[in-house]
Parts: sequence; C-alpha cells; structure tokens
Amino acid sequence: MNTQIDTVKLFTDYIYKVEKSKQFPTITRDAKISSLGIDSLGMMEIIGCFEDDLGIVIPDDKLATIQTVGDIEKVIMGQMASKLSN
Amino acid sequence: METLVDILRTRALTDPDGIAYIFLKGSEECKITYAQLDLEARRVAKLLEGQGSSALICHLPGLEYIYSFFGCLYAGVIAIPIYPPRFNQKLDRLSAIVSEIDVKCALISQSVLENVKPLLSEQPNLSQVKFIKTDLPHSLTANDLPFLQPEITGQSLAFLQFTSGSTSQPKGVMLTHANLINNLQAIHEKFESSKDSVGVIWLPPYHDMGLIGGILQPLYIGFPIFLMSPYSFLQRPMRWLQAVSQYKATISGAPNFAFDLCTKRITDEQAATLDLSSWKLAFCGAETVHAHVLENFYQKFKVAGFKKEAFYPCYGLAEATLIVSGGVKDKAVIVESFDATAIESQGRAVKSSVDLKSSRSYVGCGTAPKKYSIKIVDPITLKSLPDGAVGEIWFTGPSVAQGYWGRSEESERTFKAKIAGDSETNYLRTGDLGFLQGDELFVAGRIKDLLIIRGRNLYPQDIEKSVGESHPGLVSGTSAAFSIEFQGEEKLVVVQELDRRDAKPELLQEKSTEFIELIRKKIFEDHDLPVHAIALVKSHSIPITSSGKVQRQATRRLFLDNALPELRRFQEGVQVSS
Repeated sequence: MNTQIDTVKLFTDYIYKVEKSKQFPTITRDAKISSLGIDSLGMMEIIGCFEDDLGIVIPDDKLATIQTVGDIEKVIMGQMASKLSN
Repeated sequence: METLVDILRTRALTDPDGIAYIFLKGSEECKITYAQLDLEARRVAKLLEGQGSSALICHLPGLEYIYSFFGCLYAGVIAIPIYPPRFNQKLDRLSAIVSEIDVKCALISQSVLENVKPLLSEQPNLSQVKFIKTDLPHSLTANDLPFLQPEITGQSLAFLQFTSGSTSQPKGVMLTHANLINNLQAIHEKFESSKDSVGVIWLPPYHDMGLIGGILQPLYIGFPIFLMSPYSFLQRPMRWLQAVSQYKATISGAPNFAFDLCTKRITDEQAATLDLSSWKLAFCGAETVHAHVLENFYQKFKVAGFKKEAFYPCYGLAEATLIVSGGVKDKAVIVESFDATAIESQGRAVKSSVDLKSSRSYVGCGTAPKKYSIKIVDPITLKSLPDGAVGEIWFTGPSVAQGYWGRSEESERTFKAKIAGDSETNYLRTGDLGFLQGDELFVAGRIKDLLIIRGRNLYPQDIEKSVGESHPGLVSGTSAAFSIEFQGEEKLVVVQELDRRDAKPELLQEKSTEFIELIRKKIFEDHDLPVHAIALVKSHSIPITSSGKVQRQATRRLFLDNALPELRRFQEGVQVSS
C-alpha cells in the first residue's frame, strides 16, 4: 500500500489553479501559509482540491490546526489512514 | 409567543418528532428533532447554572452550536456567538470580547478546545473564562432534565451580535427576544415563507444572516433547513448548489461574493447536472449587490432551471437585528442606471442611459417591511431628504436593537437619532448612504469607516493597527485604510506616510520594498486579507481632522483622484514601481 503523496507538488498545482493571475514564492513544506499571499478563501479552495483528488473529507476542526504546507500533509495522512482502516 | 424559548418549547410539545435541523457533513446528514433540541438545550442550560449572566459560544458550525445557543436562552443567559479562531490565529479577538463583556464562561466542543488550549496562556484575561464542553456523550433523558422556565420576557436580552472580529472596538449589538421575533416576522412577511418552504444555508452561525436567517427563521416558521459549514461551501462552491438541487430547496441565499464565486468556479458541465428549478427565493445581502454578478449567475445556471425572478436583493445590518428592506417575491430585480458622478459629488440620483461613461447600475434593495420606516437624512443637518436625494439611510421600527453593550454614548447617537422637526421618533443611523425612488431603497455607499469584504465587516482601525505594528519604522496614526471598488468587488487599500529619512532617493527603493512586503504580510496574518493596493506617501500628506484623526474618506477621495504625493505604489497583479 503506497500512501506517499507529494503534498508540495499538489499544493503548488492547486495554488496556481485557484489564483491563476498571481505569482507565488516557491512552495516548501515549511512554508507558512499566511506568508504566501493566499487568503483563507483561496486556502479553502485548495483544501477542496485535495479533498476531491484524494477522496477524503477534512473535518472543520482540523482546519484550525493548519499553519504550514507540512501541516496539510499531516492532516491528509491522518484522514487517509482513518479512511483505509474503515 | 414572547420569546424564542416559547417558540422552541411549542414546537417540541406540538411536533416533537419534527426535524428541526439537518446538518450536512460530507454525504452524512446529521438530524435533530424539536424534542431532541429541546432536551439538549435543557442539558446545556443546566451546565450554565451559576456560571454568570452571559456565555460565549465557541463552537464550529454544527448541531452542537445550535443546541448550545438554545441552552443559553433556556438558562436565561445572554448568548455571545463569536468568530471561531482559524488557522492557529491568536486568540486576541476572543480576549478583546472578554475584556468588553466580562464574561465568565464559554461553551465549546472537545476538539476546538484541544486546538485553542495551547494558545490560552498568551491572553491572561482568558484565565477567568471557564470552558464548558457541551458535546460529551451522555445518556440523560427528558426525565432527568425537567424544563425550568427562565425568568425572561420579550424585553430580555437574547444575545449579543458582534458586528466584526474587531480587536480595537468590538461592538456587541444588544438584541432582545422582542427584537428578534419582530424581525423574524418581518423576514417572513418579505420572504413569504411557509411550512412548505425548504431551506439550504451555509452561512456561518456567528454572523447575523446565518444565525437569524438560517437558524431562527426556519424554527419560527417551522420549515426544514439543511445547514452546512461555510468551509464546505468555500472549499467547493458546487456543494451549495448541489444541496439546493438535491433537497429541492425553495429558500437559500448568501452575500454577493458567493454568487460570483459559483459563477467563476463551477463549470458549464457541472451546472448542467443541477436542478435549481425549485429555488424560489435566492436572497442576496450583507454587502453591495451587483447587477452584473446576478446576471452572470443567471446566465450560467439557467441551464439548471434557475429562474431570474428568484433573485431577491435585500439590505440589513446587525443593528436592525437583520432585515431592513427587501423586494417583492417572484418579481424581477429592479436595476436602474444612474449617473455615478451626480450621486457622489452632487448627492442626487439622476437616471442616465447605460452607455454613458459615468453611468452605473444600482440594484434596488426593496422596501421596508410593515411597521417599519426608512428615511433618507442629511447626515449634517439631520433634515429628512426628498425622493432621489442621496443621504444617510435611517431606519425605525420594533427590531432596532437596544444599543451596543457598554457603550451608552455611542448607542445614544446611533440608535436614538432624531430627524430635525420630529423629536418623537427614534431612528437607527445605519452609516450607509442611499436614496429612495418612491419606496424602493438603493444603497449608494457608506459614511461610516467600515470595510465590507466578502460579506465580512472590518474596521479600518484594526487594519491600521496592524500596519503600524508591521515595522518598527512605521509610526502609528500615519496610515489610512479604506476600501475601493475594483471589478465589482470591494478591495482593501492602505495609504501609509513615510518618514522623510526613509523617503530619501537613495534609500527609497529598498525601504519601500521592505515596508510593502511587511505591511502585506502583517495584514494577512492578522486579518486574512489580501491588500489590493498600498500607497506610500510623503509625510503629513494624509488629511487629518482638527483633533488629529485620520480622515479616511478624504484620503480615499485623494487616492482615487491620484492626488496624493505618492512615493511608491504597490498594486495587486501589477509590477511594483516607484
């Protein structure tokens, strides 16, 4: 079972999908979302992209814990794991 | 029926198994009946015994939010819905409200408490707050929890509605049960809702439109409502319309930006899979309604059977409980073209042909409900103005709130204004500009220094505070934050004065780049808001009042006229230049 997901690459794809006309700094795992220049509305859409492509649902209370791109990965892995165990 | 408690009690006794709310979580439907809601409210009321006269509601959108709210009412405790902390933001907003109200307890869920726990110690005054978890599993039955009638009347305060997440001036609008019931009746009259209505709402319950329009209105009338989290909608706008389609909703609505987001994000193929023919009333309010946004939405979704007459622009504000004016159901939206220059500089609404350059489309926001009255008043002379004249929108009627908590002077000024020549009637000053054509209200701008971005109210003071904190070299009181309209959306602009030392030619490039970057970053972190433009200007060029206060509206005018001595301007999407 391979649950490796390249969160950084996906995030980069999504951010340009959501904000077509903007330029963003290079995305890294440690990148703080608040410093990227994408607001929570854009961020929500990115989360929506992850949900759709990975077939998971990220609960609202988990959203509040996300600060970096790496945090998204943690949350996603958690959800994937609980999905697989169900 | 005098109170919201009476209403829920009646539903629970006469229709115990009726479904009060259905909360949609992914594909899961979480339901609660009137009897269950009544029981949960009794349980929460018991938890609130001896915890003071008010309680914060820190829940995320969901059924626990709703029963915790009713639990407060059952306990005769003033409910205080708050914006839940997001993305690990600091708890300074919560802390500001606690200082303002001196509240002793907060209703919260286990998971939210886990998230905020590590942050609590940063705000010393939060140690006075007892966090009560209301979502722990229990096996209590109606027999364990007898209903205890709270000692309340229609005149008792039901809840405090905070109009924004402001930290520098959190203003809690005081709403009585009578205010609410009167406004619920007014919404009912305008929306022509009935027991056969079906609602879908994703609006946040800590916002007036979500709480009153989405949660209280369906209970008042007794129709089923499908609720979803605002995050669900923002992640995938399609989810909103899918719910309308799937549950054959007749009533649903949102601020202007949400209709725009649907048009932009949903593909034609997706639109074709929907059936929106049941949608009778698509209310649109909480921020300026734009004709082109409605038209584009209609063009995209007519394939799904969406009817143009379903659009229902309305106008309201928390200070009036919610609704102030609304159109006529099933009637086409009133869109008129006026000369924008005449409106802005001469204070007159003059109809103009669409092809004129200065012509702008304005969407009519309907008329006042029965028992209410709207007047257009000169904000300086306080004289009532005739048809077609632009002035401040004043409003009177039984749902005008009691004032702002703990701010008697400001409340007196805002909620008990008198029109020259009429010392009898108290009016609410909305701070919005508008004009009447017959009874039809058109909203034309704002006098109050408030920004409304994507339905969110923001105070410029808070943004200016962040600007001042973004860099030690920036002095507070030397910036002005305001909004301008850009491509049909309200956008944030910041004007900041530069110290002469930083404005020296050899330093300007480097310094200004640094300032712009840090200002953007700080505003983002504090307010989750992209800055549309930043103008760095020469020192002492922002107009101030004789008492030294920044004049934001005047600064805005100068900015729009390119009349500020700008050293450098940053604009979103435009290469920075000096």
